[in-house]
Amino acid sequence: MASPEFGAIVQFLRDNLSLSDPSATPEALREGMLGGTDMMPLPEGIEFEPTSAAGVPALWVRPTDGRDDAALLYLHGGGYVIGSPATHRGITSRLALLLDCPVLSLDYRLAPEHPHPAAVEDSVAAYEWLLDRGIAPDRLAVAGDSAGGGLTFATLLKLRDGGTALPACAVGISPWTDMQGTGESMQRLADVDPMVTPVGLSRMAAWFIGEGDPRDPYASPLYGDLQDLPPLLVHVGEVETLLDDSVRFADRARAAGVDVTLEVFPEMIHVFHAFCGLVPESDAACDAVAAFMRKHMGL
Amino acid sequence: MASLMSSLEGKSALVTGGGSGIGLGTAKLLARDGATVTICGRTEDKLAKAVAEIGAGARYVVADVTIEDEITAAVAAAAEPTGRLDIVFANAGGSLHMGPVLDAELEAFRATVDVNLTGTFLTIKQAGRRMAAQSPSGGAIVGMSSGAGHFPHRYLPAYGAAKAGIEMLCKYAAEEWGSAGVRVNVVQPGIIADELMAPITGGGKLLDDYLANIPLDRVGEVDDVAAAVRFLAGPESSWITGACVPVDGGHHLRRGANYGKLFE
Repeated sequence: MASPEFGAIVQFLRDNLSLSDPSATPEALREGMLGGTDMMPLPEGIEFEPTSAAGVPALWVRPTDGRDDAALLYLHGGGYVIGSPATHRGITSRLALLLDCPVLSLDYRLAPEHPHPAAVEDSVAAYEWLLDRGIAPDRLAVAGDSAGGGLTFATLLKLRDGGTALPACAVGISPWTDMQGTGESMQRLADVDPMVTPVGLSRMAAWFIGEGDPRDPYASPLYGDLQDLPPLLVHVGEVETLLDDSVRFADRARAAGVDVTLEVFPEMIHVFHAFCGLVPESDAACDAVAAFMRKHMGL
Repeated sequence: MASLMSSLEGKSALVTGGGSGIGLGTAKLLARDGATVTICGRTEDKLAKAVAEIGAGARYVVADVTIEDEITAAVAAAAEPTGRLDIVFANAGGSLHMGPVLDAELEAFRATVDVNLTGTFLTIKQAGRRMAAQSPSGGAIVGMSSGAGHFPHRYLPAYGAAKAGIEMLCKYAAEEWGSAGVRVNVVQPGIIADELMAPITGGGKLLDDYLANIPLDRVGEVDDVAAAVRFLAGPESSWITGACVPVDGGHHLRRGANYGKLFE
């Protein structure tokens, strides 16, 4: 049985989101997301510093007196259309505290103004910028939620294909890995998932893909060759339309010989980690993400 | 009708209440023009016979439009042959009450609203979701109203109110879904000589009352409505959405029929 705090969050989302309106503009969706995340609590002991990572705007999320020989590159969610480091300050602050190292939260370019491959170009550039600053790859991790989770895996594929040293590990929180939306859960859970709807997602996919191929592995890592990736952790809620994006991706990664851990959380919704500080299940999941990273980053 | 219209080859269609009457006639026309048609309804025997009549790879699903799981399954089944859903005729409906407003029983009123308005809501919700999410997005939905939803036909308050509700619901959906290429229109038939209306179209004071108010001076045929639905479902109407098309010989220009004549 989920906590009462979680129940209150789900009810709030049901009452306030309108992600199935095909006439909603990107601007309206962005406003709505900012409004929803502005009320999330921020933990004490974190400093925010805007920066530019190889020309890509980003936000350093630093624990006061934390170590500086390690870093997490964080890629926010929002369907490649909405969201920003600002909307994700809650989860990045939490992870920075738990890791005791800085998080570089990337403001990668969004669709429809900048369709694929803009986002993955930005994330690869930011990762290489972190390497250039002297952080060893085995002290680096990449993580993201939703579109940022898919982008996390796409980034690994592009880094691997380009011969760049891969990070110690990577984490996808409710990752969106299939721009074609072919998961069985997409229809089955459409009425249950209070956040991600088939209509809303297909519009975002169309904006993001533009004229490109929806099965391009750098956009839909589900369809990529997944060999030689570092250890991966995938977290997903049981009642998500995107459940099968996680399950199928983890299955394919395992088949390719990758050390992948998939955790499906009963009753939980899309990126429930974002409610850390308010919901006990979210706090526990963030703890598990940080523990996985600390183990592989040697922290 | 003459084949001035383009082919519906490669398109899939769902017709609710497709086992008889206007639903069956429309299913036949859509299939004749090349669509892969799925019909649904509550009575399996009727559906099985209808599918044999429609031919052309027609399929059926037993589904009650007032039960969301069942209409959801019917929508999925209709999309199965081609991987997408192009046309939906939300035709299922009927009247379970006749009489003065002040005598209307809650159960009969509610049942009439359920099968017409709630059933159309569930049908177009599930169909619209699929049409807006498929790639490329788009589709044509046609709702089923009635002259009774346009002006009073004395003693049909529940049916008329439910049909008027369908017209407005479809306008809301048309406004929301246009940018996804999903069109939503409504047909508003007058009196049609199908099996259901045979007791009235066979003759009597009510028929006389109808005919006195129909400028084109005859009752309609199933094919009259099917042709209008076919137009609203096909590419010929690609710039029409949110419309309500009377198919009634001009009945809407005069006054509604008086069902009290049945009891005179």
